[in-house]
Amino acid sequence: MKPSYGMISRWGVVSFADSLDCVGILARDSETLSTAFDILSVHDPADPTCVTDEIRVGLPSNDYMSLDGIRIGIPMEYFPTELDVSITEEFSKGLELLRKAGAKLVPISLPSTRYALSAYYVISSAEASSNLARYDGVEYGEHAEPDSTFNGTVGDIYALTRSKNFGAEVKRRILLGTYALTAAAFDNYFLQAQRLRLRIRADFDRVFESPNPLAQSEGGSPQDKVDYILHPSAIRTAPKLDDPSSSNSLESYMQDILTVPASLAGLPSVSIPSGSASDGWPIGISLVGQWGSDRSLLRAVMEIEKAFHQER
Amino acid sequence: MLLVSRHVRRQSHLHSLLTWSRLSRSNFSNSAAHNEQVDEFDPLNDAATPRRKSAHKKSKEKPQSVRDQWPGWNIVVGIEVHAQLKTRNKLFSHTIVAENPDIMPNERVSLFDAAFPGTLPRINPMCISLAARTALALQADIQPRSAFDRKHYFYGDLPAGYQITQNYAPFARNGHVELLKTGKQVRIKQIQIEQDTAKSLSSGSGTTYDLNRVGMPLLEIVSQPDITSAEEAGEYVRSLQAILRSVGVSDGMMEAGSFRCDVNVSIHRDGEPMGTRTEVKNLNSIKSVILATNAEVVRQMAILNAVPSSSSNSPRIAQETLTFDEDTMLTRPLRSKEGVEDYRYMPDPNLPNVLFRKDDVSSIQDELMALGMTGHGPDGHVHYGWYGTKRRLQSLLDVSAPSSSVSDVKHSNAMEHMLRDLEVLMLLDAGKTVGWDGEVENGAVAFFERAIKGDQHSTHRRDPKVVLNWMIHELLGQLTYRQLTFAQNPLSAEQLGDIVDAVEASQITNTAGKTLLRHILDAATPLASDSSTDSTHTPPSLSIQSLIDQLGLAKSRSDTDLEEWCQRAIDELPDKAERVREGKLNVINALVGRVMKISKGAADAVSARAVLATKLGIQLQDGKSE
Repeated sequence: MKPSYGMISRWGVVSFADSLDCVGILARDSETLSTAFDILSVHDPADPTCVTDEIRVGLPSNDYMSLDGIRIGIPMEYFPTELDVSITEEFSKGLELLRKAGAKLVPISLPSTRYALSAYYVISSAEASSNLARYDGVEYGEHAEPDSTFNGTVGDIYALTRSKNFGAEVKRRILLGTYALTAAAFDNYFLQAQRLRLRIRADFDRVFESPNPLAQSEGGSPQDKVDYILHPSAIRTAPKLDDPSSSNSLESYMQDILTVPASLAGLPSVSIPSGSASDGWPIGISLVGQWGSDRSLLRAVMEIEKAFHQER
Repeated sequence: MLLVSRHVRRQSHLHSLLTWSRLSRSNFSNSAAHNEQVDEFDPLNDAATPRRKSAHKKSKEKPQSVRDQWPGWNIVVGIEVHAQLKTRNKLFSHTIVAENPDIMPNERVSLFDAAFPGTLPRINPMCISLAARTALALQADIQPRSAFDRKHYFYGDLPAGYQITQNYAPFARNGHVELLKTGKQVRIKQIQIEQDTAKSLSSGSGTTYDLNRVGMPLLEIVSQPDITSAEEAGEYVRSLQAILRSVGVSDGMMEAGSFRCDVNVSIHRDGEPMGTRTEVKNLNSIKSVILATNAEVVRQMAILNAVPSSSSNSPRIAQETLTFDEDTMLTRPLRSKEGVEDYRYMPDPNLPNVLFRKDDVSSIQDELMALGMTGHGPDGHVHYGWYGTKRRLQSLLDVSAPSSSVSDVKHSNAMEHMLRDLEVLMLLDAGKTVGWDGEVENGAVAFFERAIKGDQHSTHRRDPKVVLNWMIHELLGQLTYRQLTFAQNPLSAEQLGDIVDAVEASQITNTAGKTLLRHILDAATPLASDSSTDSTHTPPSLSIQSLIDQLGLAKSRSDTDLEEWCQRAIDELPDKAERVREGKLNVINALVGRVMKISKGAADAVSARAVLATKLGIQLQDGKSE
């Protein structure tokens, strides 16, 4: 489960991208998830982005619900060509089970989805380049000692430590992020990405029945309202360590394409195991709720689990 | 005088301010020409400034206009000040700031200050309040919404690799500093809140860093380039120090590091566009601000003068950052940076916007009012801090501008004296310690206003002019003589008020009042070292009325007493008495003096003179003899 942004305190979490980082929970079943979530989801004054009790009291709870009558939105933009066919087939089977349980499946459109991946990588790389600037080997951590022939600036000394101790992917993101924040690129990349982020959040706000407790979004054409959104969790099964696509960054970044929009919008999302793909490896489907609906989302997940369990 | 100025140099904190008033007090007893001498002892001048003969001479001469000094050239100076807010906790962490500056390095550092992974900022609301006070004192517009950005660069004094500052949306915009001496207004561009960096110490083996200072709250105050000379730059710094101290937000001390200046200098010939500006950093005293500005102007002028402006090969001033070397008295470039550094400003995603609306502004205004830091100008406009207090006192004293008409010369002189006394009072007050978290100690102004009030039962208020006179000319002088600072003053405001009442009611003579005051100071002096600075407690044994009785100072209404005293005076000074009888009428004053001494000031001088005259059988000029 990835909870709503700001539900669980980030104090103590090594920051990657502050506006995106969330503490998540992995468990075998939704009941365990719920128990763990209830314990962790409290206000912490040490984290300025952790929401106050004032906001928490008004949020939906995990009262009993049945899937009968629940409207589940299926976003049409979440079936890109890269999506493995066997995953789509499994997904459809799952939808059938939900329909049988009484859920209403509603086709919806989230038009800004196609910008989500690039917006995500610009923002997260930029923030990461900022958050990782502190790893210089001075106050703590590994330190690469310059040799006797060294003659450079403070920045050069830092570069020794950082070049040696950061992994390749980390360095890549830091460089991209640094570029995105430079004066020349700032407007075109970082600011644009933030504008897209607002649009993506507005897309979600337009389809969810309940309004976003944190902020109002504007614009866009009215759509049918839904209670939750359901989509395949990933476009393919987990790549193996020696998989050629792992070494190609762009391809590996593509893996995130379906989960990134909920992260950008700060929405809660639970990935539920749902069969396996043609290569025999497990796949999942993700249920997404409006910001702050974590508890009711977990309840719905429990019902979906039951519906799937009955059939399998 | 020379001895005292050496003493001033050694003192490194603001009690040098009180030394100023001690010096000026002795000046006041002299002629009106002391105005020029006052300039010599700049009240808020760095105590570390040695009094160079040439500088002294310059201040005595009429200041040359800048245009005369550098004919054909325009000097454009802007100043960026970083003032440390005096809060108990840091800006984004709850690290407790040390009250004692002599702590060990790296003792007051939290995980957040040291940029440990997993830490997050927590804003200290006191910093916002103090920033608001400053904005009000500088007549700046507090922005309803401001935000924090990260300024990225790699340097040893920046553990996180970025400084949290306000680049895109500063806390306040506009406003101005009214220079204390000349009244010229230097416009402010903006005021922003930001973190301080570590303190670095270069030694032979390298550089070490003390993180105690990391994360301390700073107010960056950026001026518009309205300053036109090095002296004016010094004046601006002095004025801003006074203003910040007057609202209790910062110590404003350059040597101690709570007030730092960077000076931006450019020059251009008349009629030509603005020149390239350079920045001189690391200036840690007012003296160096003035000297560095001058040095930079001279350096730039030499470069530009080398080739006439019409030449196509005209040399350009490089846009660079410089430091001022006090040994060579020249500016030189800091370690070269390639071009202008890109700080990659990014809004800090952890920190919410600072929202400061009308209600918030009102509550700060009310707070300042309650602390006695406001005042209305003649146009009804409210001022805060230094100028608020000044205007409030001016209206209290009913001060009007000195009149130019001949018949009003006497009134005009009195007005001038009062204005000067007011200046002394303001500066005396400026010397009080700035408290933590904006708490304010009572200083000279609070004392003055309390002394005017009168006791809670009576509706009458004492004449502020009279009280001011007593305070500045008698109390201050007596404190100085006893080498006491105003903070060590044992006389309470109530006691001073009671003395004034007794004199004004003719219960005792003026001289008796002075005697009373000195008596209280003498009686309390052995206690002064262990008593608190709170001079409000009136021990019952020191009530004015009981002292008057105890010392027998009440003006004698009986003629018999006066008769006795005068006879005694004549008996004690037979030679003088003889000379008066012989016709040396002026010598009678010596006898009057003796009468005053005998009566401990209780006698009325005028009556004494008359009685003496009668006894000596002479006719006084004014025909007053019985």
